Amino acid sequence: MKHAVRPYPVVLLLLAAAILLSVAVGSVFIPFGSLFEVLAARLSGRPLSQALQAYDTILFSLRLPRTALIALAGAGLAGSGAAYQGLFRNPLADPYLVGVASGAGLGAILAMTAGLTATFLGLVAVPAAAFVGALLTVWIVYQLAHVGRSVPTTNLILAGVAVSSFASALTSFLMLTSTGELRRALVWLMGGSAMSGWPPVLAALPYIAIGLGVLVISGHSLNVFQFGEEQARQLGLPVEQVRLIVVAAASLVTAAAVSFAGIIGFVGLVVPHIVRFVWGGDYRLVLPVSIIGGAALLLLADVLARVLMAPQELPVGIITALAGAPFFLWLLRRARQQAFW
Amino acid sequence: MLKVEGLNVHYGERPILKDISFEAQRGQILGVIGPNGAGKTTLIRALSGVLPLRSGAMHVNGKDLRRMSEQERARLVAVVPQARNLPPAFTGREMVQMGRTHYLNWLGQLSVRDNQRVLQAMQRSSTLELADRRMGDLSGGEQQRLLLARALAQEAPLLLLDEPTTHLDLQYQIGLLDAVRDLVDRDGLTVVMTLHDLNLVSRYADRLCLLVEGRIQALGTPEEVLDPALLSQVYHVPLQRMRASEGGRPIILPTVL
Repeated sequence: MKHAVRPYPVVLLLLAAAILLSVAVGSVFIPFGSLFEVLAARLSGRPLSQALQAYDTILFSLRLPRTALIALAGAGLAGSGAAYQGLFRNPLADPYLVGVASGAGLGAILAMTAGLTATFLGLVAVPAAAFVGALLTVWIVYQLAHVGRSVPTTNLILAGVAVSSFASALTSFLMLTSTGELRRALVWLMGGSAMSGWPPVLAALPYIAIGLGVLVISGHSLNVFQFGEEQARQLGLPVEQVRLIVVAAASLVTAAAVSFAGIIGFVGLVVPHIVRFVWGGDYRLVLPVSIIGGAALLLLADVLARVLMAPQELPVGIITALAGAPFFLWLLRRARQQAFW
Repeated sequence: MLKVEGLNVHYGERPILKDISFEAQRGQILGVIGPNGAGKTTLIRALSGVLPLRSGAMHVNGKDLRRMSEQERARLVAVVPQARNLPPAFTGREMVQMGRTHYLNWLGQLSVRDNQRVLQAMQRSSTLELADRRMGDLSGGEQQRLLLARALAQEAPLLLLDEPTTHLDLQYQIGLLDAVRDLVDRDGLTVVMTLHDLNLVSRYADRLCLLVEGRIQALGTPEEVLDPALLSQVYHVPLQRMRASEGGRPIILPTVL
């Protein structure tokens, strides 16, 4: 396949730009010059001037951890979205549509209302609860949707939407009845990163890195899956095993992204579609490129969330939905002329 | 080579294949014929290992197909399905490369040998010129040839074809079946192929198996199975037999009333 633009340089450049913007922009703007001065000073161990000291604090205790967390969440959501789409052979499958994100959300909120967030234990318990919620949702949706050994598209969507609504309703109910954590949970639910500092980044990193690693090496298997389960089996793919591994990895990633960055829609849907639209449907490419692109896109959305109503910050989930939905519709209209899925 | 004994397959409680037993020899094409709903496609699916069997045994070169992982089975049995609903985004080469799935590691990387086999399979099926075209842009005939190439890339001694000529124009039907015949004669493959066109099957198959309502009604040479009296009864239309040439292959035609 020949393409006008090569994928990796494009998305990596985009990611670099997004990271730069994300660390520089906010209630206090750090000029790029000072940014590099602070970085150089940190690296060489030179003492900083009074003015730069303030930047240093903002950069290392606020901006960098937030940038890292948002990048991880974007990468995770886009990567798991691409994997779900490949596995279910359904362009609409994403962590939200199949109900995984809502299930993860419910698990996380259960752990939060139990008052676990404040402790360090919360950093382990919240994602663990979210992971259990996510896996349980996939299992329920699969049980509801499957006919024999296959999952018809319509069944999947219907079951996913129903289970997702149910989990969301339970989440809302829990939030209403809980008291202290309400505001925090609300922000989190709208896709605002309620946590700050390095601990959540370090807590999310292993889940997301391991999960995405597994997904990236499953590219060829997902390619074979595109011919349907029966042909995949005939071609020698251990179908049950692959499905189990991919679902577990994608759910792990979704759960970690949701528990540390909140419920952020559309990234998992839009990013893999753009990648597929521009560079074709080979999952060995779609997965890694979506992961990098997802990180870049969510960072840019987060920058917007910080500046649009400054000094107030918007939850990034609002931005992704506001920008993602129209963009997705536009993509859908354009794509009609060309079968890229 | 392929030995099937007492095969029973049910969909739910409904029996589809009843007590099927036959053998297919190396270097031969076994044609499976029968009216719609006779169980031809089910037979191919059962042989390929994707259906649960009620009872029965299937062996390839003495190896039990039922006690095998997908990878092991894919080395022995390759399937050419009907060209329907193929993902449009892959190129011809990418598609044929999937025939190497059972040799690849989790990363899905092809070795030099894998790439050689892919190239060879494409040469044998005359699909090299389709290597860089996208599946979505190809005709049904071209897609079907790529499916054959993909199956050849599996390097399996047993090749199963399910109505490979449906939706193809006549020249592509002949082209595809000539290629299959050639593979059987030169490489000693064993082929089991369903075809609803009795005259094509008469031209290409060494032996025929007539399925009616899930049972084997007749098994033998085309000369024996393509019996006008038997077929008229099975297909519920009066049929007559003619010859392609003096003493040549039989041709079955509806009797002109």
